Amino acid sequence: MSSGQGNYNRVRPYLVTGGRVEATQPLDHLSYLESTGRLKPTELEIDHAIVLAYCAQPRAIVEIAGLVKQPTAVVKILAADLLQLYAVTIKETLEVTTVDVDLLERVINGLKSKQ
Amino acid sequence: MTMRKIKLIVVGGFGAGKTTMVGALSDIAPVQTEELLTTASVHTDVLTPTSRKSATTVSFDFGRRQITNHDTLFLFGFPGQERFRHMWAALAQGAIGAVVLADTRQLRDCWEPLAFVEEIKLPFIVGINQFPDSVRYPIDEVRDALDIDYHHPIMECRADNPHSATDVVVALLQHMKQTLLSNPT
Repeated sequence: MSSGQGNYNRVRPYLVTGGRVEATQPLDHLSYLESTGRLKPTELEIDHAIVLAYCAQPRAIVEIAGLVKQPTAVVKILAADLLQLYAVTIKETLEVTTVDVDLLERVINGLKSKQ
Repeated sequence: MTMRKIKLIVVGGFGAGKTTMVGALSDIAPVQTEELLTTASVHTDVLTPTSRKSATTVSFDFGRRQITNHDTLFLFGFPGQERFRHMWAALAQGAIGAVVLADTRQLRDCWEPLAFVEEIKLPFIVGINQFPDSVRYPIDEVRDALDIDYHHPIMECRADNPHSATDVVVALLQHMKQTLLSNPT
């Protein structure tokens, strides 16, 4: 179920980040990263390379964290490094926090049509 | 056009079917992600190798579903046990609504998550997950047992069935729409 340690790496999270505990820029769970193509995964250290590989298509930080089996806080630090290297960019997205009837109808119809 | 991100949470007691439901609703194979949070400062969300006493880990399920070319639904499923209470607010941040999964075999396990969504005033629906060995109770009995106000929707579902899981989300959004229409601001 959702409360265990799962099959997470045994490596301490702060080893992956080189001891750093904070990302150099604020990133959200749902920040969307996309590879710029400027660097190839093979040009980077393994942990950064894996994150970059998953950014070949735009993906949220939280999804990447699940795929690389690292806590989201670790992926935020690695992602901030990749941003500084311009290996990835943040795709512009809009988080909907207040709903209106139009939005609800659109989502309801979308859900129904794909059933 | 900019992609719009719409977040929903799926909460419930241990074993109520949260992971299953996130999977049934998601386009992608759901991933389980760990969040490291410090108990003292939930919102700063940093790793603190030196302060071992306050670092806590919670894992949650994540899935997403493409609704239109510009709208994506994000699903966060997380445990409703009391010991994770201080992290719920952080995980629920930005959500527009919640599915509270109830298991009639352990109904009291959903009291805590239910109290949480009521406390943060998140629109919610209660899904009574029908397990093969669940005894079926009249919905009004479950509503009474959980002390849910009549205006909150509650329905039976199969968390493992994509159609049924989708029906629950549709019912939640329809309820939210009705609420908006009847209380124009």
